[in-house]
Amino acid sequence: MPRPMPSEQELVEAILDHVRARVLRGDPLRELTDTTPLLEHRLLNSIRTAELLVFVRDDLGVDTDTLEVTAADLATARALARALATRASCR
Amino acid sequence: MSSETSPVSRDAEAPDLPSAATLHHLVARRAQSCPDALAIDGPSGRLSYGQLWDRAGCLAAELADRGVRPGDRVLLWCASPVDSIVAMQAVLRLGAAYVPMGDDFPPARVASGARDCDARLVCTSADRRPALAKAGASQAVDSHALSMTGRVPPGGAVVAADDCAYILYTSGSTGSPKGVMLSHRNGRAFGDWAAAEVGLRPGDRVANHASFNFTLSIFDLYSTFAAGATVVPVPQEWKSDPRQLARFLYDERISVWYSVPSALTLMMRFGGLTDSPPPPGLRTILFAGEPFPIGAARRLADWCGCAMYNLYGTTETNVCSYHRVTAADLASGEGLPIGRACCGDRMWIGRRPAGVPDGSGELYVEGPSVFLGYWGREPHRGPYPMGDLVRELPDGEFAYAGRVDDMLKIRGNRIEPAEVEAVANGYPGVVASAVVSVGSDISARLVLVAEAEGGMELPVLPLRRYLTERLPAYLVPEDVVFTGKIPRGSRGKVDRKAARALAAGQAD
Repeated sequence: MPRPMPSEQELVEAILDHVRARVLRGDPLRELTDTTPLLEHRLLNSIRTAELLVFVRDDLGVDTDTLEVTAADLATARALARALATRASCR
Repeated sequence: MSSETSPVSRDAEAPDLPSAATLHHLVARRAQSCPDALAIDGPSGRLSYGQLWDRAGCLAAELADRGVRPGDRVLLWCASPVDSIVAMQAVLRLGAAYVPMGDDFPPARVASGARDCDARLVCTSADRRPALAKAGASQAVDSHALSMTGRVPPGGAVVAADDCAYILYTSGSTGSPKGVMLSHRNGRAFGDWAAAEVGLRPGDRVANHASFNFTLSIFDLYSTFAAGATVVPVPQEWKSDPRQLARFLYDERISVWYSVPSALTLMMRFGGLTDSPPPPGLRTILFAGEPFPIGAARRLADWCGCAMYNLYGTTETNVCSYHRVTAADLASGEGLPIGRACCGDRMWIGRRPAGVPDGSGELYVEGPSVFLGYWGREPHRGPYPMGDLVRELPDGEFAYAGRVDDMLKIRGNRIEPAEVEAVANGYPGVVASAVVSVGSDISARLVLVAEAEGGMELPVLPLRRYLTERLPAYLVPEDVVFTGKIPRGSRGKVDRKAARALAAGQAD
């Protein structure tokens, strides 16, 4: 049975939590938002993008195999959540 | 300006071809003998050798109209790798040198590069011109449009083997980037050697993973063109998606792959590369830029059964040594050697600094692949000290044993901490900083340890924005740690070991 697909807002929160923990040492000043540029500010590089996509696949259960993730999708947490919510399905 | 003294110049096939010792001769020769063979293919576009030659000729005429003369520098910052390659060929045909900027460079860095090397023009894409103009580089042209105007190519400039062909900027230990000037002879020494060693031939499809501002791309371009094979550039945005990267090998029927080891590790760990049988045509994998962990190399070899090469060198020397991976290497569990000299170079342990392990010393290199010198400085003469410690192995090969200085290597990228620190120290509120590397192999990351006024912790995102606006992506630290005081030794010099401990302790 595939899991129910998380909502866009749930995806946003999960992606933000992941980036806060992995990249911003917990983000103590609560600086990261859903519109913070992730690629432009180098919060994501090749390794961290790969880790994020693995997190989305394994922890959130979203099937990313058929999703061709573009740079535009990785621009912000909101953009990625929207791409996942509209173009991917749950496994 | 004659290249008569060059041994390879006598085999020119036709009088209207450029000197046989030049990089653009490789394309000219194929454009004449097999114009329909593909020079470039893949998702970014397709050009035959004939089309590449014609479009480069057209662009050369347009660039000449805009004042590009032999000896000039032309910056390249094109969104499309196909446009970049056309522009390289155009610039070379004019006897000028091309200066590639990374696709992910901020416009301010491109503009400062143009100023630094006194570039006559910047070849770019129409949509990038406004950002460049804003950053102060007004001499930018849309090279794609200019390569399609149908102009007749200008008469070829007389270009000699030792003329500067391209300048690659690398991280500089004095706080600003250094322009490494390489000649046609330098590029050909490696390109021709590698094509012969690997046995490249027409029909081979050679992936181009490295950005053109990295020395690894010289193989992808000029070994490929020397053999009349096809270069297949990886689209920039696929480089951070290991699954797309792995699929690229299959979809594009790649036969030869060359990259930093971490790109291969990334594809194996996150891209499912070794989950299916290897692409049928894949026959050779080369890697360079950092040590390949032996476990990952073994896994790769078990999967593909390909010929595998560990190449070694730096931007200043191009590849100067090589080691073809053997079954015994993979079984031994020790690191892969950097091997023996190639490209007609000679290498030896030239200095044994105090405090290094017995039997090791600093590697020196001289020969035809060694650069002309740094832009704006005295020409380079004599052997080049690599800054790398090596050990000589019983069979005469060399093994890498570390660095003699502070330079860092992360996923093949060369990073001078001083350059990043100089930028970080310019950020309002930061009084001192130390840039260190934490972790190893694919997990290695660059950490900025910063001391702010009053020992405060500053917001991280504005600081990151500041850094990304001024540094190429690979120089932007992945992590920022604030400390009350940068650790220093008794003479006031930054204690990098202590800074690294601080970064590792807080960053992990």
